[in-house]
Amino acid sequence: MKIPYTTEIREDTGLYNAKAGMWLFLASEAMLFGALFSAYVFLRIGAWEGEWPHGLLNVPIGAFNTLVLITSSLTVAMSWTSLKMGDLQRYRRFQFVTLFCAAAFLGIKGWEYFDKFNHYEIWLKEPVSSQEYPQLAGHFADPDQPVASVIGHIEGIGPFQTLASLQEEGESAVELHPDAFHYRLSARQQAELRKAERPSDPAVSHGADAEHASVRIDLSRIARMSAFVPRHGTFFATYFTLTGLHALHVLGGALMFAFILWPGARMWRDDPERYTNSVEVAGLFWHFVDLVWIFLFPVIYLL
Amino acid sequence: MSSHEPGLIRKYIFSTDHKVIGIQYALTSLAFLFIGLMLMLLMRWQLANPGQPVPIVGGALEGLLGEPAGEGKISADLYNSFGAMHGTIMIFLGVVPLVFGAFANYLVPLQVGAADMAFPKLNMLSYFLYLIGGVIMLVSFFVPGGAAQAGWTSYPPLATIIPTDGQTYWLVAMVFLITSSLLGSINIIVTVMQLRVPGLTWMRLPFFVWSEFVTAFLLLLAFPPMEAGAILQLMDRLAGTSFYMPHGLILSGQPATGLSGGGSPLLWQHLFWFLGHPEVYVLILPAMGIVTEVIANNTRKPIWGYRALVGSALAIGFLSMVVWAHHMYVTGMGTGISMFFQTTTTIISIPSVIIMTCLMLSLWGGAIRFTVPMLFAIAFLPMFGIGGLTGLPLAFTMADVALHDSYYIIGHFHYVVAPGTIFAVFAGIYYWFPKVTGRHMNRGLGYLHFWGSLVCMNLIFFPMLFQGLGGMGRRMSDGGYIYSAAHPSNEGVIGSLSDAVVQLNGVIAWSALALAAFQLPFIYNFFYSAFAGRPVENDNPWQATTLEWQTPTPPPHGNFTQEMFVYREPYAYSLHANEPAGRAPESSATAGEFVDFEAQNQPLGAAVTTEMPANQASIL
Amino acid sequence: MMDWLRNLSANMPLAWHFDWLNLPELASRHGEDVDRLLKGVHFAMLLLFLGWIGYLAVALLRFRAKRHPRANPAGVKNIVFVLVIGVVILEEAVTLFGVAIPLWNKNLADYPDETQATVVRVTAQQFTWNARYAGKDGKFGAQNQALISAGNPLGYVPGDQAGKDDVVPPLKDIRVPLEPVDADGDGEQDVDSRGRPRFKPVIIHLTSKDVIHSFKVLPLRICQDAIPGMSIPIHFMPTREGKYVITCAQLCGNGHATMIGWLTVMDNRPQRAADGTIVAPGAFDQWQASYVVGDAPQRSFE
Ligand code: HEA
Ligand code: HEA
Ligand code: CUA
Ligand SMILES: [Cu+2]
Repeated sequence: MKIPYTTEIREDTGLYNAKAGMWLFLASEAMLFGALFSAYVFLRIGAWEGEWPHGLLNVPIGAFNTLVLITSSLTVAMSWTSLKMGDLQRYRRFQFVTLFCAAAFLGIKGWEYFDKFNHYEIWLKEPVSSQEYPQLAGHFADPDQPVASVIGHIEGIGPFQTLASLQEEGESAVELHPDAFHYRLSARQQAELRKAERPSDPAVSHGADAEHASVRIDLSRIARMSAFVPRHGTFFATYFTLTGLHALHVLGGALMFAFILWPGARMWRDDPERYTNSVEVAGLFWHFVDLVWIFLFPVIYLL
Repeated sequence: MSSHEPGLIRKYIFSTDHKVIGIQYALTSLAFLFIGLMLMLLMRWQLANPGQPVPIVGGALEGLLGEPAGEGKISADLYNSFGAMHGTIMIFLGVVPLVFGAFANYLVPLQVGAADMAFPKLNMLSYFLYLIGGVIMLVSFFVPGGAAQAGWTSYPPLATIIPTDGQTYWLVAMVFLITSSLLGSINIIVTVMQLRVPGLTWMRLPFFVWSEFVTAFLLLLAFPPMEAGAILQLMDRLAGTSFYMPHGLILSGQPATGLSGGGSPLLWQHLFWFLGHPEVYVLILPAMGIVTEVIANNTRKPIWGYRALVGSALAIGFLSMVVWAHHMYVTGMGTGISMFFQTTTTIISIPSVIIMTCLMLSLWGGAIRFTVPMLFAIAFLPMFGIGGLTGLPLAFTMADVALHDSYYIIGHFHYVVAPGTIFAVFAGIYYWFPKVTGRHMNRGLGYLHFWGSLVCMNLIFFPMLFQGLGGMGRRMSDGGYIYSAAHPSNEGVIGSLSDAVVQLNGVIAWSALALAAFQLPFIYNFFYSAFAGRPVENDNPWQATTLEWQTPTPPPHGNFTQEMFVYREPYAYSLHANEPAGRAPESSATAGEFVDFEAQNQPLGAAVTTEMPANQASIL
Repeated sequence: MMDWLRNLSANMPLAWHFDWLNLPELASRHGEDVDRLLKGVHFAMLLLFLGWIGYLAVALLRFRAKRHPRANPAGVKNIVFVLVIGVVILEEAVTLFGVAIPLWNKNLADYPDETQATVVRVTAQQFTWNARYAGKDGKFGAQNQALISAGNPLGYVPGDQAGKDDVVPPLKDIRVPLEPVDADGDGEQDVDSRGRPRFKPVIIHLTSKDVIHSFKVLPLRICQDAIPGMSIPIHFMPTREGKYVITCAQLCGNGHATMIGWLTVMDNRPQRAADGTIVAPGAFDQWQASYVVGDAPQRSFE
């Protein structure tokens, strides 16, 4: 006896085995990401006043990546229909595009990650004033209001340093190239700052120039420091965990397609129907991964 | 299917045959059960004689585990490891793989008349993922700091700050186990949905298949949230995040300035218990399935209220997703939430009651054969009854405040999992052993095993209820010595543990030892009979109706020699008992032989002779 | 309907006072309800179990194959099943909606007015209990995140006026007074609707420095997790003097088993001379007086 319904459809369920299996798998995936989303909501609701950072993610890039994924979903659908119509070449061409999109998506994501890694936030024991650090003008909504933390690039110490690790390395201070604006400033405040002429010190008349003027901060004054990596705070923790897990899924899907496209292609000759099915099933997974991103993007980038 | 014989390795190790994989699961998980049993013995010794070096094996312990077991004594750290690992191993590496991996793997395809699982390769993969997870779990005993020490529930912040890599191993192992059971459950569900032979409608499925079907859904949908939780806890441990770490922690006297804070310890509890509670029904549903099969066969009559059983199983499946916070009553929840969870928790007990009642009523009017499997199955009823009933007071916040985290809880759930699930598992092993090996297990040893285990289990777990009400807390590495009235600092202190409560630790310890001793005949019986047991007289020694008994013994690769077709409900026993004697049906018996059942694949319209069977004596 | 049920539950003949559940003797007001519920449920469980076990015995004896070789497929009448399930459902419904939920909600609802209660801040840590009282002025000292340090784990502001008279007793030693309530000032101790004498309620604000602990005092029938990052209030009305065990009811590390504490409910009647003038404050007040922190933000006994 052999296992039935590997390719043909069972009428009472209307499915062949692999498809049924994939739907079930997606159900569990939905629970996985659902749980992570709930965790995100749970933590965000519990966050302290003003603790949750805003506007740190690159929305245009994110939006572009969304387009990339949607395109790939389309090409997957096309490639499958091509196979249905028995056109292997057309299927190939579409899948190349899919794989390209996948690569593009991951590349862009990687770049986004990297861009975060060399930003540092430094929380100081005593809040600093704009008088002491004119270069930090972009940090102060109101020049007379000291701020508790400053952000910017730090050259050549890599993303994973902490106060403790620097002290171990015998450093005494860090050289910070402050960002134009602190993320705790609302977009409106930032715009106002840009407008505001401050002839008193030209360095900050345009927020952008401020980056060049660096600030030297003694480790002894630092309460805590972290790059924009997971440990920075619950926001980046959820951001990296969710997008990272999603990226792994994209990678997995791409590998699946690549396998079907090259080593697996033999099956096309022996059992074309089954081959088509395998593309359909992998496609289901791909659409799901796409869907997850369509939830992720607004929730993490926009809200 | 494949005509050529695969080589030995492909046949017995990297096999894709669901029967071989089932046996692999069975042997591995039984081995883990055994380890869990040994850990328990060590714990019980410590509880009865706090701080005393462990006799006999003490030296070996120190040699194996080093400083935590210094002088052969069980340090608090070691005790906590043992507690956490006993729980983890018993549940995730012992019982679940046994009732779901082993029994479902071996029996479901047979009972639905399939040649194999829907995805044989996936099936093999899930076994090896389970094996890897298990090995990682065991290795963690030997890493610096020892195995996980924060209980099987691994509550952060404790689990995160605890200074041992064991916890990290625990998390990684859990991720493997979860993936394994995800694949397994997909396989089972698809097999049941897609591979049922013609004529085998949903309402003709043996209840065992139904129970495993629902179980599979529980694993499929409840495990991922915990996987998410585990991933987050891994991030906390490895990447220094603060998913579960609130603001303002002060660890060992120093403010935790390295952490960002902002997380919530309760988040983990929600993610964990969202699995945790369905998990407990994963432990019990297949057990109920097994017991149902055994009872139907040994009462020689249809199960009472088959549809009610199926409905209840489904109801349990749905409801178990919405009761999880009854493990969190004392975390300080508001009126609304606690009302909700008290209500759902009480409601979910009803389907269990229905199932139990149906099984009990099935006994009425039967011709009960007290075979070894039947004894375990019968014992399951009151034992699960006690376990379940003691769940009821816990369901009410008002009563739970008095019982929470006491030995009453330990008593409650052990009554369900140990003399409950474990007994059902024993019943299943004794019942299907002849089909799997073609040999009977020794009946005398079986009776010894049964009565010994029954008595000891109750001597162990009933006192725990009493201890719990008396205030004995669980997870106390010194058996409550510090809290005992005898302790000098508790002069005239109300609520300190009375001598009676403390001394029960001794009774329990000895009973536990006896319990372990009574497992020896079983282990011997198991291996001896597998090779030298009494060969079965025919393919269907219990005269059962379901499909697995209508194949050669042991079933060949591909399971069935002829095309199967199902004509009737699963438990067609004695249906013609009150008709006059007639011909024996051709298919399942030679003329004249007593037949009081019709196999599911036996064509309709065959009457039955009803003289007292010659060969039934051998079963009685 | 609801009232009728509540009424029924109140007068259920189950509140016997002899203790067949091996619970430690009771010392709080709401505990009476807890005990009634526990006893009621266990009584029902017992009946159910005995019923079932009896049935089981009969069935097994009557229908063993030796005695009853020919099984009868007909089986039991449905009505039996309906009755059994009906009874169980009824029993559970009454207990849940008639007793368990109303009592618990009531218990949460009558959260006492902080000014009329003894207020204690209890902070759990591995593996001990810290208590702090507001002292005479009834105000706790100001706190400040930034000041948190090993010596001052809760960040109390040193020399803060409100904080000066706060009381910080030794570790693991928490005490509350047993003070008769006389709100209407008639010189008689007030009684509640069921004629039970009223005492000054106690509010405990629970939190933890490090991991999750749980503050369980079985004689008072209270149990509440102490969770880091949260401060959770619980309340109870003590009804008798005594020294009671505090159990840590949550695994909190290798010292979990040693994390015992003692909650003492003590008399606080001032000592009066023959003419009734007060010559000395009550025992509880005296005890408090000896542990005023003064300028130190926190007395550390570690
Ligand atoms: C298989 C395992 C299993 C099962 C089936 C159950 C079943 C139930 N459990 Fe249990 N439970 C656990 C395993 C299980 N539990 C575990 C492991 C824990 C502890 C986890 C931890 O903290 O480590 C726990 C803890 C636990 C708690 C948390 C306690 C606390 O930590 O404070 C609660 C609270 O509501 C609860 C309730 C229930 C209820 C209402 C049922 C109901 O479903 C029970 C319904 C069944 C019945 C009502 C019996 C019906 C039978 C009859 C009436 C017939 C009787 C027959 C005869 C007498 C012959 N359980
Ligand atoms: C399925 C789950 C399961 C099972 C079966 C058991 C079985 C047993 N457990 Fe356990 N236990 C837990 C799950 C389980 N336990 C959990 C979750 C906890 C909580 C942990 C925590 O606090 O975090 C716990 C905690 C726990 C404690 C409390 C520790 C503490 O709080 O300090 C105790 C104390 O006595 C205990 C005892 C026992 C005993 C005596 C058995 C006996 O019933 C053992 C019986 C075992 C057998 C009968 C094995 C039979 C199998 C074989 C003999 C193998 C044969 C092999 C071959 C044939 C190859 N268990
Ligand atoms: Cu504190 Cu256990
Ligand atoms: Cu539960």
